Amino acid sequence: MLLVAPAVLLLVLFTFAPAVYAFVLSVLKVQVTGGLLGTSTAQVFAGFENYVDTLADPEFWDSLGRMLIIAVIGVPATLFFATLFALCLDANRARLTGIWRLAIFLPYAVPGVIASLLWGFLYLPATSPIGGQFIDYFGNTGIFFAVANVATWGVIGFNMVVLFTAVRAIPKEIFDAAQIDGASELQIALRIKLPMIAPALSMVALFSVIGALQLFNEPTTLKPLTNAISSTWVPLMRVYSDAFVNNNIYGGAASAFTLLVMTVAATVLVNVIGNRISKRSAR
Amino acid sequence: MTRRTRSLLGAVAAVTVAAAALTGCSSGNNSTDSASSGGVVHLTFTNWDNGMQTLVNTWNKENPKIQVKLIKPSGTGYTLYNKLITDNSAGTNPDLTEVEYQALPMMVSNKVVVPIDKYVTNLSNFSKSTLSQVQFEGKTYGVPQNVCPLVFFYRKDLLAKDGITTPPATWDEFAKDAAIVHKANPKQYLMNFDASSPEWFAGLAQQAGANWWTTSGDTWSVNIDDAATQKVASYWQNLLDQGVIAPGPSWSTQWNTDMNSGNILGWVSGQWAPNQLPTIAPDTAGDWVAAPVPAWTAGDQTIGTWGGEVEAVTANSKHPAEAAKFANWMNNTKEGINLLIKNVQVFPAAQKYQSLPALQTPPPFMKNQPDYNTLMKQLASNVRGFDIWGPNANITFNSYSDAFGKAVQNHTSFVDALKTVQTDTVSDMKKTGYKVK
Amino acid sequence: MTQATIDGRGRAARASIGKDARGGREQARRAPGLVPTIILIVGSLYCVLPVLWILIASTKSNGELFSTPPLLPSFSGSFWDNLAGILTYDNGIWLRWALNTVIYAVGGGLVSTLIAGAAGYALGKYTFWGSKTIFRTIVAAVLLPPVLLAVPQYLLLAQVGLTNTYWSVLLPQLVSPFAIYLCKIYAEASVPDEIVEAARIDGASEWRIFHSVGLRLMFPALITVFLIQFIAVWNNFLLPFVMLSNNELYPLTLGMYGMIMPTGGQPNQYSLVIAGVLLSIVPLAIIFLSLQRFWKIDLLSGGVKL
Repeated sequence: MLLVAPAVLLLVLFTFAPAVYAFVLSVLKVQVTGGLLGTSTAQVFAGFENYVDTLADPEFWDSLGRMLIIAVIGVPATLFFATLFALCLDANRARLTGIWRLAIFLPYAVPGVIASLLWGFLYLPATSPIGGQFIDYFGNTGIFFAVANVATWGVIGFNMVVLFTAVRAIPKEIFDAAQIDGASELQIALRIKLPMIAPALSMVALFSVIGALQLFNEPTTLKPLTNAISSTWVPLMRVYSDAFVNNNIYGGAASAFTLLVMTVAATVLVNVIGNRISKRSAR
Repeated sequence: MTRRTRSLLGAVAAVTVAAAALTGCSSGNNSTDSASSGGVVHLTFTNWDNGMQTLVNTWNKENPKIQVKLIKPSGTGYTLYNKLITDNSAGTNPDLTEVEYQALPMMVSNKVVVPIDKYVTNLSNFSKSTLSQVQFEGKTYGVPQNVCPLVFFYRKDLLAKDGITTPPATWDEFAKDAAIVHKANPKQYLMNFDASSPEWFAGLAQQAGANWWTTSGDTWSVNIDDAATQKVASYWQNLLDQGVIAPGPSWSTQWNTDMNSGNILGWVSGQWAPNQLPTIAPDTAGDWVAAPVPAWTAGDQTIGTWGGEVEAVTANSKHPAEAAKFANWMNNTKEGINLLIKNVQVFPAAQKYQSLPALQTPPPFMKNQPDYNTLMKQLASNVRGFDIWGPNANITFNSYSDAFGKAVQNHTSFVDALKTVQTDTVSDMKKTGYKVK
Repeated sequence: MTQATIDGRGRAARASIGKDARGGREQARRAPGLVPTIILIVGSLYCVLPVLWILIASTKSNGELFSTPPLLPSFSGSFWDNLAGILTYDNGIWLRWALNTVIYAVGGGLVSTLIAGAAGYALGKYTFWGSKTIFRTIVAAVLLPPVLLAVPQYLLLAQVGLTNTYWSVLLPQLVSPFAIYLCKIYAEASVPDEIVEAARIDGASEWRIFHSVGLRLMFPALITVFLIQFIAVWNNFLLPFVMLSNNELYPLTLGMYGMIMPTGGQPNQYSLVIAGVLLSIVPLAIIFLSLQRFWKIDLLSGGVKL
């Protein structure tokens, strides 16, 4: 089909070809020979050396752990609040919902880098209007919440709108029946609306998890403000610092591929769980 | 709807055309385009210093046959150097680029820059110690621009309130003063420990007598955790443990605020600090005084450096002779150096020009200290560096920031952090194929 | 519908789904509305506070930023100084960055929407050899981390001399797996087979059917996809950061990031950047407000079927 051609062509050129190239890089390394500063420098085959380096580096696993902590804080918070706001928007007699909807949606228009700069100002004692003088947002514990908060702040509105539209798509007959049975608004929300939007919820969850795995902009932008964030704080920062600071694209590519395999595994898992939940609730 | 679809398509077309037009305008940035046309050579020059455009403009006016275009890079420091290495294989590097001394061996080993001995003959204007920073295995890579000795900047007015009238001459005195300052006002600190600036820490180690990299023949030895550096690390850890200096990194919003509001009273920085202080601490102009960095033993004048750069010709350049000529004019002639002093506020590396009349005027931020550059000259003559910077100093630096950042955050041992930096550096060098003893 | 308008939710309802089939529903329900409203107000405050802080901070000079209470605006006239400062910074380069952003986000967004629309339509309305595999492969590409792709994309573009040009930022973003996914779902849902069949019987070419039937029916969805793409490009920091080394080609995010990051001797320009952030978010908020009724994200909520 001719109509798919541009998409496929561009995808091959700018996504799959680079991905394959990245894989090739991941099994190479640079070798210097002769002279103090090397009379010759060559790319040589490294086998899975770079992968072994990645997997054997405790810092890689630490960075993975930190990412998971942020995901464990951020993803449920995103889901919970997005669902809460969506249900409130749909609640009977909630006032001025148009305004609130827009307000909550607004952060989606603020790029992650700028959002992090902003929250940086809000966290630091010198400029904090939210108690940075008393709460150490960059402490060993605080930092996880600080980063998760910036990420959550940026996506809550978008997810809320997705869930809200899902709620609005539920046929009204269902509610009428429940109301005749004497169900309260809260009961309707929890027992009917929530299960009905399970497919949308599972998609939001999937994208939140993918988003968490690709966490990069927020900690990178917050890094100069604190000692708490190292250059390999989350896995993608490690990839970045290998590829763009340490002049080691090979190691960076290997870390990235290791991460990719894990991402695919996680996605399949979330998808399977999601489908199971939505199937169960559809019953 | 159809009308709307059509206007949508029209908009696409318009934007695409606009993009094409703009791309056309701006595709003259890379050296691939620096072909000579009509006898005029076009050079591209990457440099991130503010004020550099004035120099370039003056050169272009005086040299109609060699026209230079200045490019400000998106990233500075190692971000730029990595990009230069990547672009080198693609052949898209500028003709000339700014490289800091500590990164030059890395650029040489990656074949990004080329020797300029063929084109520049008056290198005797530079001191031996300066030249040792740019000469490897008998070849000269680039023209040195400046010397950046470490300098202790302090708030004379605020220290005086605490009864401290002279700057600390030794590190012992510095520690005592730090305690006094913090005791008088728990919000105030004499300085911060900067875990995010490896070059700063390297400068302190240089002063203490460390020699992180040495060579014999083709073999390297790496001694980042030597006794001298351990002494420096333990010293700062002790101050941090006592809580008399601040733990945050420099240049953070927090640090800027503390510098401006007088909560941080001192800064061991480089010669270039007066260029930055106007934006770091705008309200404090005239309150800072520069003094020599405290010594380990009274009377010892040895100091380390922080920064300093060289203008190097790239392997991609099709006009290395012209590029070297421009670099030499900028860094090694009276006219160029005068412009550098006035516009970029450098302290020149060329010894011959370290007493130019232009240097009798202090940088605007240091108006209260007319002999600022006299002090710089004195400090510059006592600079002690490492024999050479490692070809992977980037790994070392990154490791420092991570290891020391972690140690500050978790109150763990600085000496252990130092060992991590040593291990990371050596294992990377071995992996890349360097001979390491 | 009357009821809906009276209790203040009619606008929201119409905004999100064009055909609200549930007009009479509210009448039946009588639960207190105070709690949800309070929750929404608190949520709005959380989301708006940082943006509000920009507005307040933009009234302050660099010094005042760090010395005056964070939530009190300053009336020293710094607001205009900051605005003038950011607009004249480095010979007005901010405006150039703004223009670049428009090219990247609007241009890239439009083209990628059309490409996704075409691909989504084809994948949704036709079954041909390999169509299912193509779709699955496209969707799987969502998983590739951008940082992984950035280096090889850079190296490949450098081979053909395209780095440090507009193309280096535009081209890699022209195809979005997510947008194709959305378009496919929407094409399936909104372009009835009967109409396509009828057009075919009338002798219309497939291209003509796509152009005059498919695109027209998908138009509302395409606007949503465009907005999502627009935001994606506007949000993408890494790609321009990697590709560009000439600051005349920067988008706003990269340009302002460079002004504020502590890199090698560049002074920080907090108050100018804050004014710049304000200047760049306000038009965006206005665009979003005015395009509110086009947000058709209901197509997203159909569930994931990979």
